[in-house]
Amino acid sequence: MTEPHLSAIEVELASVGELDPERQLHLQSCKLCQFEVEQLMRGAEAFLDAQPFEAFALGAVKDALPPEPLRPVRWTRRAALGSGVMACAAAVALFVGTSSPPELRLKGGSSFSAILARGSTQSEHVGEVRIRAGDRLRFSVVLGEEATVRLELNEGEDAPLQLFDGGRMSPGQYFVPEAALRAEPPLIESRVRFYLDGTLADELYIRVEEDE
Amino acid sequence: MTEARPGGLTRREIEGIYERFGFVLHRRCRALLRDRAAADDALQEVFINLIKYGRAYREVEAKLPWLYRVADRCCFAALDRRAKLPTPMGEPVELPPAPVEIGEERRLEDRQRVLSMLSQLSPEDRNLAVLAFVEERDQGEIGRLLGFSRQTINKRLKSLRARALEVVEAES
Repeated sequence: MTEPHLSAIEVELASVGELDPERQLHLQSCKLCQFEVEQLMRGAEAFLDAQPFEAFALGAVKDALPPEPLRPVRWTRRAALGSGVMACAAAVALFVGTSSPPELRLKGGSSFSAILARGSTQSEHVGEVRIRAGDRLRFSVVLGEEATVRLELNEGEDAPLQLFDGGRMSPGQYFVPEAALRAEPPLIESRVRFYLDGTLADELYIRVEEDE
Repeated sequence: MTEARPGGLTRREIEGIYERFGFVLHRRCRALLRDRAAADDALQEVFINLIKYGRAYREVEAKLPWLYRVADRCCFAALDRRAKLPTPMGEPVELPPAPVEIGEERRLEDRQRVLSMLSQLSPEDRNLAVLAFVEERDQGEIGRLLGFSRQTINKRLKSLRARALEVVEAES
């Protein structure tokens, strides 16, 4: 029997990375459904470009919002859209042109890396990445086996900022949707810690590139 | 760190929800309210509710369906408020965005008709209409979600379509 196409709700779930794993199998093999999910994701990008959170927060929600955090914001979080299978599909395009894929592999065949986007170029980094203002960073997690995944951002003496807590995740490649960052001055050095099953598995140092 | 209000979410959490789900929530509000400005207002209301009472979000595994329930409640409340106002004559009605999958014409017509009379439905029928015509879930799945047999859902959907047709014919 032919597997039915994704319903409207399933397309939406896929666009935010919450599609049921069984239906992800269909999505992986169905160009039509992939197209629909991609269209929705493009719509979401346009929506956020047209009305970023800062603009939305000026509406009626303004009075209800808790105050801004006191610590200086050095990073603007800019959630990427979707993960899971769509991330896998996107990864194909993203890694085209990456000259040196990361060699570091962690226990269980897992790996953690940063994807640095600068203008129209993208590069993948493990262990350390050097940034400038305006750079965008995303994190890629490859899981060789099922595990709980957590990412923390450590800046100076501040308490670590939890970037992502994905709970138990199936094997596969993910772009971590909540942990996409845009570098804004003043830049400071920081590091992202990658925890697998509650244990520190890898660290990535974010260093500020010196002016040439 | 930003302090959450009792029962609510932090600013950072709210921002994360907006960036990840804001678009699909707005789209949902537009489908239910059939009006962009009303959807903008409803989205604000959704987030006000999350800020004040959304703590359960942290524990929920399937975030989107849970957020949709919040959005639905806000939209239904807006529909109820709208139903109490006198109907302006000749005001253009904004149609909801086309569903992702364009199906046969009849299904689209049913969808349009039923969504246009959401404000006249009971809370139970509203939920049924949303699951069937907005989320496009199949009858077996709707039955499981609402605790009815497939046959019951089938009957109720038929009656919903018939009522919607009557309303449209009466209005025209």
